Amino acid sequence: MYNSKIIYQEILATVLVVLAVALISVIIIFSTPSGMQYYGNTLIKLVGTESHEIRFEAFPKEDFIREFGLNSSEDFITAFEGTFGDENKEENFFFVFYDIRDGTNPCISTKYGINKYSDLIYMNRRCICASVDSCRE
Amino acid sequence: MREVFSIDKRIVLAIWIFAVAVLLSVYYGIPDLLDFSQLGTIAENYYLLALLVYFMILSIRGLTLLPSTPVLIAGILIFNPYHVFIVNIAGFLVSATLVYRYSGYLGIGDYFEKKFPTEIARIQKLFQRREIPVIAGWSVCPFTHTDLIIYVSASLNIRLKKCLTGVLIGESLINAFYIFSVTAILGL
Repeated sequence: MYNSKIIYQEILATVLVVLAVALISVIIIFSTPSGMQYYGNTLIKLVGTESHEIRFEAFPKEDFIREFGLNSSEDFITAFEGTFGDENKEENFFFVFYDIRDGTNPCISTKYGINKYSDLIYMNRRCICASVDSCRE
Repeated sequence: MREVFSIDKRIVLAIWIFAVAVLLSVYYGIPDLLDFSQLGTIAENYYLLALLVYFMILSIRGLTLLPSTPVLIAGILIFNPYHVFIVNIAGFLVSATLVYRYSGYLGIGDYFEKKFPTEIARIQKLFQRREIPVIAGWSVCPFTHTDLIIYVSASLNIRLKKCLTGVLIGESLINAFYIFSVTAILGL
């Protein structure tokens, strides 16, 4: 049987291991478009069959500029706000978030997250009304 | 196997394997039948009752080997995130205790120790004084099956106190991460 005493070194090692795993996960998921795409898709799949999801996509900023015709001469956040506006803007240490209603269908809203430090932007387009039928595009 | 497992344990083990096989087949084959989001309908009128049912599902989930992340995400979509966090951690600790005790009752550890004495001794030596970091490190990885490490820990006769400490540390962090992801990142 193992020694049941929890020693100081073990707690310290636990904190270091947990922080290392968390850091690696955060770097992979929140810093790379492919990591974010995989994580987003997996979460959406787990949300279930009644999902109100329409489209989840993660891009490198250059690709986003090209796809949505943003002004590439400006700073990315300024160019983004110039094109999409700044509805429901929120900011935390890593991300700037926007939650923008669709111009043509008020039941559809798109959450954008721009990583402030790495080349990543994602968008999550989803139905915010109770009935998914009201969001058919 | 016959010398290790008594007849009653063999019956329990057979029933359990059959039940888990049926449940997992239903879960992966006809997911609509085990759609946890249906709790939302109860929560609209009886929030506390729905939270209690959610806690009970979480508590026995470990024995069924169903993955925990879909249950957690269904909870995030239905309940207040702070309530989900507390209930989920409590449910995880109960589930881990049940899994540990069940594994102990079956004597899976003794079986492996008799069957593979040198390999088990080697793994135990590797785990020595690293039990909590290993369990917490495994628990904090996204999309990993935490119950597996509990079954392994019980098989290696690691103390329950250490298992629960590892699970508590790892699960607290990963649950907070999932809650943040679903609410802030996806905006659901």
